[in-house]
Order: sequence, then C-alpha cells, then structure tokens
Amino acid sequence: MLSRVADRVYWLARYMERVENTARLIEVTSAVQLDRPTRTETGWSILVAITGSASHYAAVDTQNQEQAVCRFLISDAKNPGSIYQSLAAARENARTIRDIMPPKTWELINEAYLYTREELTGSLSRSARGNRLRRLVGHCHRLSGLLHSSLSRGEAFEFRRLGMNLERADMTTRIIDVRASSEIETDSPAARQGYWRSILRSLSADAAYRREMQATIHREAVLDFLLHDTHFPRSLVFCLEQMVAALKRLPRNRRLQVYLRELTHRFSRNVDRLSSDERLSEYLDNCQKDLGQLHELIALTYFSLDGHRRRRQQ
Amino acid sequence: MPIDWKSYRSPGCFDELITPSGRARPGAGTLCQTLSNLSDAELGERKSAAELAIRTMGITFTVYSEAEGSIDREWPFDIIPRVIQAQEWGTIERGLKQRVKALNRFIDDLYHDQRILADGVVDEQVIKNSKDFRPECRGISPPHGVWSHICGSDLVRDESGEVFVLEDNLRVPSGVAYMLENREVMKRVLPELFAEYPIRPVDDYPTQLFETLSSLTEARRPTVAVLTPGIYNSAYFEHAYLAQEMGALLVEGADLTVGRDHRVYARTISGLTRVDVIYRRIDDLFLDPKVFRPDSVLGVPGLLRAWQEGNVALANAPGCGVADDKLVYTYVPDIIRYYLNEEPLLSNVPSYRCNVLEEREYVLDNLDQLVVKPVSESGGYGMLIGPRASKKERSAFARKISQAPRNFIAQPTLSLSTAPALIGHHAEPRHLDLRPFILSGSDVHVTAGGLTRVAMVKGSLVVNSSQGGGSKDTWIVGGDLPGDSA
Repeated sequence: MLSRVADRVYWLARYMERVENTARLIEVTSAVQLDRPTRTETGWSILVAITGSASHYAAVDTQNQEQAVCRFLISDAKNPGSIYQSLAAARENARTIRDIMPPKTWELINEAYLYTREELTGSLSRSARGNRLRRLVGHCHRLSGLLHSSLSRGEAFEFRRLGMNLERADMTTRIIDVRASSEIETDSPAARQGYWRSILRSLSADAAYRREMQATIHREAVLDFLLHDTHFPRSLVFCLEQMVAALKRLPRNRRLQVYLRELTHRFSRNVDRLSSDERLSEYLDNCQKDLGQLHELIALTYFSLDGHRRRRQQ
Repeated sequence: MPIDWKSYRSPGCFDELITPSGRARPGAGTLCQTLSNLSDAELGERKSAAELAIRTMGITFTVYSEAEGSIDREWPFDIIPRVIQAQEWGTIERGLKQRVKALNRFIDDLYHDQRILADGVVDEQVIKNSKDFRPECRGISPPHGVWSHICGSDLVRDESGEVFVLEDNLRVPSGVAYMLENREVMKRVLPELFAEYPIRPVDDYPTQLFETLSSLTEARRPTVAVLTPGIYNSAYFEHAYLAQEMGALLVEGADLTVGRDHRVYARTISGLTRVDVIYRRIDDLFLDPKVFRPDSVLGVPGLLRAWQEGNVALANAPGCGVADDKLVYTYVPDIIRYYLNEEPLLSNVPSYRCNVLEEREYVLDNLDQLVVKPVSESGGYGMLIGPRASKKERSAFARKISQAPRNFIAQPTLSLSTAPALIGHHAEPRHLDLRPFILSGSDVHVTAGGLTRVAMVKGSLVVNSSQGGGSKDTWIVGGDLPGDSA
C-alpha cells in the first residue's frame, strides 16, 4: 500500500472518531452542568483546554461561555479540531481514497458533512444541540457499520484500526479529564456519583460497566473500567490491544510493537495511585503525550516520505 | 404518450437509429419497438433507474466551481443506446488499427531518421514548429516501436452516413471508464434487451489495457502504476476506476521517486517498491521537473532519464503528442500510404491548412462556413464555429489566423449525425460523435464501440462533458438480429 494512501486512511479514521467524540464531550459536559445545583461557567471553558485547542480560541466572543465554546467546538471554521473542520478534512481524505474504500464511504461522510454544515451552525438551544449531535453520532455509527461489514481485512483496515483506536484512547482520557477538572469541593457525594454516571453514559459504557462492576458507581471502579477493562471497546487498554493486533498484520512493525508494549505497561498503573485529582490529571496528561509520541512513530514508520529518503541514504 | 417513431425527425442529418421515413435502421428494430412499447410512466421509471444506478455506482466527473471548490457531478447519461451493426464496425475497426499503426510508425520515424520529412511527404516545418515535438526523445526506441499505446480517435458521420475521423487523441485520451460504466448502467435499465440482442461486450478493456501495459516490460510480474494529477483533475474518477480494475497502484507524483540507479520506486508502507510501467495521465510538460516545467509538482524528478534508459515504460511515451497536432492530422492519409503502402480505410474530414497561402486565403474568405480549430488544443476549446459566430467574432478570429497561421486548420461545418435522446418523455434528435479506444503494445485491440458523446442541448454540436455534453451506451450488434423488419 502506498504511504500516502495509508496516511489518508489513518487520518480519515482519526477525524471521524474525533467528530464522534467531540460530540460526546459536549454531551457529557451538558449533563454534568445540568446536574450541578449552581451553574459555573468554568465547566465550559475547560473543554477548550481539554481538546487541546486553546491557541485557536482566543479570538472567540466569551459573553456566553456555553454558546461560545459549543460554537467553537462544533462549527468554527477557524478551529482545525472543530466537528465541522474534522468532517471537511475527513471528506477530502475519503475522496482521495475512494478507490480503496467501500463505495458508500464517501457518500456517508459527505452526508454527515452536509448535515453539520446545515443543521449545526450558529447558536443552538440546548435541546436542539443535543438532538442534532446525537443524530450526527448516528451518522458516524452508520459509517462504522459500513466499514465493519464491507471493508476487506487488508492493510486499509489495519490503518483504520490504528487511527481509530489511537484517537479513541486519546479521547477517552480527555473525557475523563472533563470530569476530573469539573469536580469541586462542595459537591455532595450524590452529585459526584452523578458525574461519574454521566461519563459512563457519554462513552456508552454504562451498561457494560454495570455488567462488569455491578451497580455501584464510584470513582475508582469507573476509572479502573475506563482505563483497564479488556472487553469494553473504548477503554484505554482495549484500544492499545487493538493497535497491537493491527500492527501484527503490518510490515516493519518492530519498533512500534516495542513502544506499544511499553505504553501498555505504563498505562496499567493501579488506580489506587490515582486517588487525588491532581495525580489523575497528571496521569491523563502523560497518557495523551505518550499517545502523541505513538502517532509520531507511526507517521515516521509508514507515512513520512522524508523518512523513506533518509533511510535510503543511510 | 409513448414514443412514436413516425413523428421523430432528424433535422436533415443522418440519424443513427431512425430512417428519414421513420423506420428503425437495421439492427435497431427490437430496440425501437421495445422503447415505443413503454408507457410514459415506464419510461420515467427506466430513466430514474439509470439516475439511481449512476448515483449509487458513484459515476462522476469533476467540475471546478468557485463556490464549492472542486465538485463531483453525476455523469449525464441518456438511456437510448446507439446501435452500430457489427459488419460496419468491422470496417471501422480495421481502419482504426491501420491508422494507429501508421501514426506510431510516423512518431518513431520522427524521433529517428525522419525519412518521411526527407522524402518530402510531410513538410518539415510542420515538425519544426510543433510545440509537442520533444528533442529529448530523439534516438529512443520504446518497446515494439509503439509510442501511443492508448489512442482515442473521434469519429463522426456526415449527412450521407459516411464515417470520418475528426481527430486522433494520442496523448492522454479520457472517457473509457464512462464507456464501461455506461454499459453497466444499461444492463440495469433495459436488461430485457440484452437477452434479445447479440451485443458485443466491452468489459474486457481493463484486462486488455493491463496486458498492453505489461507487454512494455520484461518483468514477469510487473508493477503497473496509474499516475494521476490528483482528485482535482476532471478525469480522476477514471484514473481511480482503471487502477482499481487493473489492480494497479494509483499514484500521484509525490508517491514516486527515482533512485540513483535511475529506476522508479513507489513509496509504500513496506518501503520502496520498484515500478515497471507507468500509465501516466498527466501531460508531457509536467512529467519531470528536471527536464520540462521546473515548477511542476505533479511529476517525478528524474522520470524522463529513467525512461530514456529503459528502466521504466511510460504509456503513452513522452513526445507522442507530436502526432496529436491537428496540422499533422491533415497528413494522416499520406502517412498511412507512406508507411503501410495501403489506402486509408477511414477518411479524414477535408481540412484546410492555414499555413499554406492559398488554403489560408480560402479559409479567410469562407470563415462563415468553416470550423476553425487551433492545432494543439483538445476538449473543444478555442474553436470558431463559423456559421454560429458573430461577424465580430469572425473578424477577431481572422486576425488570429493571420498572425499565427501554423496554429490553425479549418474544416467544413459537418452536420454531425443524430440519434434519439430521451428528453422528458419524448425522443428528440441530438448530435453525437464516437470515441473508440485503440490499445497498442505487442498486440492491437480496439474497443467494441467506444464512448458515444451527445450534445444534450438542442441543436448544439458540442459534445464535451466539460461543456454540457452527455453520453449513451454504444452497442455493436451482430449475427442474426430478431425483429429487424420492424
């Protein structure tokens, strides 16, 4: 497979995953905010930092935090990480690899793109926003279903698996981060439990959690589940295992395999050691940095045209 | 109201399906009968079926628009096929093979001994002033002596029904993917007719193309790549389609690199992979920034040298555009006689060379009756259609001709043949042409029919898809045909 094509499949998967997860992130924040007896505006602005897009946010009107942040994350054409921009990028990528993806792929992405452009712009009421984001997530699911049922298990499939799981792992840590950053001292135990439930729900993890960890919802158990469960497809460890499986079927994978083993070891830190929110935040930050490194290594191994040139000159 | 062929009239042109007395031509009987048996509603259903098939099959062409950037349009398609009898097609096929064989000999000669110029058959000036003659190609001998491996020649009929060659596209002719997809669409739209007609299949083209390309290398299991300028090219759909059908790599310039060994490699996830044959869909001047346009990002530095050394086959070969020049076209009958010692089986449209004084004077005096074409353009751009142009446009064009006579030829305005197209629920005559594709490697193949392009606008003669043209399926029908007496 051409490096360029692999690069585009990988990024297509990342962008689509990012779209879905950004929608989830906004949903969970809404839910957390609603559960709070007194509204705090900081709950929204923290999203900008969590999505790593603070440098693009400065110019945005900050009168109404909720509206401003949501517009920024959903429809802002100047935010390269916004849902709209991610879909635009996914659409361009899908267009250039139409010959190797199932025929309907481009059409589905194009539909999601047009839907976002038409229905998810401007200021939306909370309920309209929620409904439309859920529909958008539905679009994403249709694409996943299509690819799952009709994309041959060849190299394209493995690059998609790499991109999707890397983005997913990254976003799971960010979604946990929302929770960790919005808890305040005065919250009641019931409220705290409520936040953790919202997190699970936003990752469609509530039922799986209950089956695995019984009914009680508390911090350590939720963290353990979202970070270390080996069956739930959005847990950090599960995503890493998927990447290991994908790499097994790709050439020149040795350095990456070694690095992934290292990451799996590092990420499996006992949740008891994440008891303070400070520790947790630091841990999540490090996870995100490590995943960033992993991306660099994937790009260098498979996509970087200059990487090839260097290797040949050696 | 179902289609009534008795009331269908071509405006004084030869019609492909219906005689002037409203009867179906030989071979078209069953087709016309079937169509007139359909009610308006049924016709509408068939038409929607075609549109749906085109949408779901993703058959598009790319148009650049200011608002949207580059957008894919669905391929405009007419559901009434064009029918050509196998016997007539046999003659056309032989004529095309003859023509392409002679043209390849001509190009090979130009880059070697130039005997044809020395013998005075073709004027030396024609080559000296050609912007597509590449000195870099002199002395190179591509495999089998073939330069134009994929040729698309445009055929038209005049009012008597005689077939003429309008032009030969020897550089990077496009349209063949649409020919293939048109057939797929038709099979969905009028499946009952395929059971009744012995229609020659067209779907062997990708295999033949792959064999043609493979015959250009010694490699036993060659790696073939289709080199595309990228998604913004209007024919990108076709590039992707052909690559997929052939199991070839679809590459852009940046995907390829030429090593210090002057071999061509593709950048893949496994490292560098040797490429043996490149079906290039970019023009000569963009192929290699080291040799041609230094600003080209579409090409591959060092590619020409790799080709010159025989390390990679390029199809079509660089420099083959020299025979694509419309002034050269006017010499093709002489070229056939010179190299093959045969009489041309297909006629040229009579043409006037503006670089010859007497002919130029005739052209300037009769601009209102002639079509004037720039010699090195394709796609219908830059033409003057005399009878349809204003006086002002004609005198502006006359000045252009006088300033650079070598750049123009003129032809009488042909009344292109028509065929019925479905407009609403009615069959109306629309002008069309035909582009068959000729493959030359160790063997020569001609497509069964080709791409029929239709000017969908009433009275228009412009069939190019970039300018409002559509297309229809082309049926070569042979053997005993049921229902011919209809």
